[in-house]
Amino acid sequence: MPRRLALLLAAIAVAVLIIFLPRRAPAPTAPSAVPSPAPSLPSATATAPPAIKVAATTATEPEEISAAINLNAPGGTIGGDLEMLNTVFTDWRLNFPRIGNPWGENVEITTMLTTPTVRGASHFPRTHPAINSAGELCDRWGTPFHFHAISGTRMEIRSAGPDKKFGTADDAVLTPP
Amino acid sequence: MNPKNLPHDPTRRKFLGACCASVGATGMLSALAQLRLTGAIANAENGTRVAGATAPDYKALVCLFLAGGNDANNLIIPLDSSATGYQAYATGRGTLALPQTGDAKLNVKTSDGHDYRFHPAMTGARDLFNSGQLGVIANVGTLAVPTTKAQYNARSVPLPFQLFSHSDQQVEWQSSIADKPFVTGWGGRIADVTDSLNSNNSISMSISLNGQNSFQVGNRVAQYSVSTNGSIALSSSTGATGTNLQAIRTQAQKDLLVAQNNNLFETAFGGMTSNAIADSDLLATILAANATLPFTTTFPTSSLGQQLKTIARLIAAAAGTATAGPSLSGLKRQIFFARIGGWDLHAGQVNAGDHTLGAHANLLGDVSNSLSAFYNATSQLGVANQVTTFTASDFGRTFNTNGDGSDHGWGSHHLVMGGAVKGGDIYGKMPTWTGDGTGPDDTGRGRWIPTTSVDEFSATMATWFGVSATNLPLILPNVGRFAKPNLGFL
Repeated sequence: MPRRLALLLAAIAVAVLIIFLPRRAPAPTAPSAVPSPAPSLPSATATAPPAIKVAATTATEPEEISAAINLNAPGGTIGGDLEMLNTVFTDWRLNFPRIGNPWGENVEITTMLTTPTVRGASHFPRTHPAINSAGELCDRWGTPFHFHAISGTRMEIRSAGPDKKFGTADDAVLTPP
Repeated sequence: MNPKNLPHDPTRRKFLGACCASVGATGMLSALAQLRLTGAIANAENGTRVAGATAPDYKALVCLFLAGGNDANNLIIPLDSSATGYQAYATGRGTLALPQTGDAKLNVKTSDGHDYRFHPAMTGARDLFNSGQLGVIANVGTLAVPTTKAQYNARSVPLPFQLFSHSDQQVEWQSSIADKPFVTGWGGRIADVTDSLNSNNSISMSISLNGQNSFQVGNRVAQYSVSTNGSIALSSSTGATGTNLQAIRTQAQKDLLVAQNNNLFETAFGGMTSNAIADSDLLATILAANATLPFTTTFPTSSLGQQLKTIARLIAAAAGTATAGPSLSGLKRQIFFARIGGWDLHAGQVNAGDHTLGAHANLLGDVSNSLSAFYNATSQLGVANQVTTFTASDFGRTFNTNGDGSDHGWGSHHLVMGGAVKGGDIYGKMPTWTGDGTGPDDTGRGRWIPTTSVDEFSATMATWFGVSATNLPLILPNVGRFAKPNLGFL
């Protein structure tokens, strides 16, 4: 009888492992690594340093090919860039349906997007040149995007446009339906 | 000895039995919690309900929701020239800063070492503050548990779901449960528990002047939406009297709705629709009979001004101060909801040439003027001590600008107004801007971690409204996690 009980418990333990282990996803918390600086893009804000301090990238960290790998690529358009980022947020929500969009300031959202999941891939490459020295994701003119959280599943993305000033006529905005 | 007889030897039967017992206990605990709420609803706050019994007094709670996230860093500003006073404010706010000179300072009863003043557009609110009918609750916001900066940075405590998101934070402010999916609002839960104080339930005690909202969603008491012109009626019922075709059609519709139906859902739908039509008719009758306003106060013509004016008329009908005709007497507890949108201003907050002007100044001026008129009206009605009005909003906004104005923040400052309010004071702790992100409440860029929770803010008003200490956790299940279930402003 004890042997049968042990077998039953072992079977339950295996079932629990099978069910829960693959679904385990990291909470969108402060990561342990920082996006590596992209010297070509200076920080466009003169604000306090980001609240979340993180360390440098290691060469061994795998990175997935992101939906926005071609963000800010020459020949592209700001409209295309915004669509790419929108796809990144959609991918994030598919991976974290109970959490919803990453949240916070640009630097916090960028940190979450570049943090590898348990599967070892991130939603956006931490070494991408669109990330400036402050860890912010920038548009093709070097201004950090403004991520405007309408809800947990709708993230409006704003670019200041060529004049690098928000609230002017050349701003580009993607508002999800 | 038979191994099965060992006291701690598990068998399959015991294991399965324990599992079933655990599952059963969970269900039983849940059922007990529901029974407790049901019991609380069945019994009035002052004891078991007796047929025809009424509460000894009338009270109304008015929620004024500032939809979009008010930048309260410009609602109240430090005036003194100390290093942590106006200079820190002006440096931090940059292109959003208001001038140091201008409107008179607030006569704050309990000084924290700084002088303060409201936005120059808020002269009405300033006068109410200085005369003791209006108070400020500093840095209040959604919290799952008390949270320090270190805990926030380490994510070592539960945080409100989807911080900085408009819709999520609106709902969490109105539910006061930041760490669970929305079910009911705290206004709705108060109504569920206190509705038994009303001997007149012909119209819901929860009335919204601005459409459906989360705040007034309850388990039992439904919110009733009206417009600033009064009841929202079916077009066919307007003027439907006598034997004209419209009246016959309306009567036929009413007969159909109250007809018995084999399908329970259809019967329930018919009943609710029929009640809504009856409520609409009754409210229209009451307001028409009191076309001569029972107060002489002139309200602003803005949407908010007219919402508060209609609330004042409905209070007059319930509190027995209406001039003539049918009334809502017997309705001893009412909860109202008003809303003004447009606060998500970002880069459009202030005029570049004069920061005291612009969209934010217009909104704050409207709030101030409307609140002032509303207080005056309730004074004329003789119920100023029985009506408490408070502001709420999605979130505060960042202290400095990211180039696109102030961004979505967290903790914010709010107003509470009424004759029962111990006004002329600032409750809670104003956050400190250090400029380098080292402030104890600053998560970066002046995005304040709330030092007072919505639970504490709402618990104070729920207690004033008549909710007992025993039932307070039913209204605000997380309030026990926080230090002050009563902030003392009422």
